[in-house]
Amino acid sequence: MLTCSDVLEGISAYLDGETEPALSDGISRHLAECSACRTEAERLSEVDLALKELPRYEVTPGFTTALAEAVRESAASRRKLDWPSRIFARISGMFEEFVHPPGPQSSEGIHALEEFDDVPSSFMGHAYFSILN
Amino acid sequence: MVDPEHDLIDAIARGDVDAFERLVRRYRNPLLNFICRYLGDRPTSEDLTQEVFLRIYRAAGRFEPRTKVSSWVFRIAYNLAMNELKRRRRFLALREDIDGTEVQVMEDGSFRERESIDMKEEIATAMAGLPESQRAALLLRVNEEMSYREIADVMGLSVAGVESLIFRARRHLKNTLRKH
Repeated sequence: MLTCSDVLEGISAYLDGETEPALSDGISRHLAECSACRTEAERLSEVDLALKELPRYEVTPGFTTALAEAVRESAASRRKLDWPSRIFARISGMFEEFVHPPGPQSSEGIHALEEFDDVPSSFMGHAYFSILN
Repeated sequence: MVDPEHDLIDAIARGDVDAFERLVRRYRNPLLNFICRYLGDRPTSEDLTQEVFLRIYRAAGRFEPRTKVSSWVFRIAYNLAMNELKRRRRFLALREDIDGTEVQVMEDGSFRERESIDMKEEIATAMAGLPESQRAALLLRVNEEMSYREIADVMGLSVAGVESLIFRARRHLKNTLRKH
């Protein structure tokens, strides 16, 4: 059997539905019989009602549109930041191809290069064909 | 149970601005009311509400799926509002040192300048006099109808701690209202 002191200690959580089922049952039974604790529960509930009746604030018109716009601009500026990276990647790719020319894609390619075997060694392209082979 | 709003955060993380707008429409007024009642200052509250959403957009990719979206959103708001109160306290301490301006410092260290007290409602004034953690916990419970577990997640406290804050806040407000 709960005392008034037990009930008053748990009454706030009870009103919020946050007490264990056994304690909730005990408090419910006590409130049915004790008018002093019932009055206390009603007064605490009045606090919540008074809070809920306070005027509700609303954001100013255009709040959401302005925010979405700010976010779009932020995303666009992030994309702009990617632009130098893309240019750098393209340049470094070209440099890489120049330093390490692509090897033959297939044996067919190698046979095709044999056609240039008779290129004189004094010819400038000879060095390039040698690397590819 | 899977929070249906997780999909919204996933979409925002992929840069979906329409999803972001849906989230803003869902939370803009609850957040504004929470921050405004917590700070007691309407103009700053709207700026902070905007900042909450910008942080959500930037942090959506790091959202932890085990968390409820509403708890995450209000945690960001709570931290920002708490920092704003700290910033004001530092500013006022400095101002009082410099020019001796009289400010009303509340029990919990929050403040209002005497000439700018414009919350006429009895309960709103009583709320402003509560220690800030009690105020935040009660607002989340009564206005947002969050469970004690959710409030504990928002405020970084234990469930028992939340229960105690709400209990003391209600008792304090009940006693204040009875005097009038």
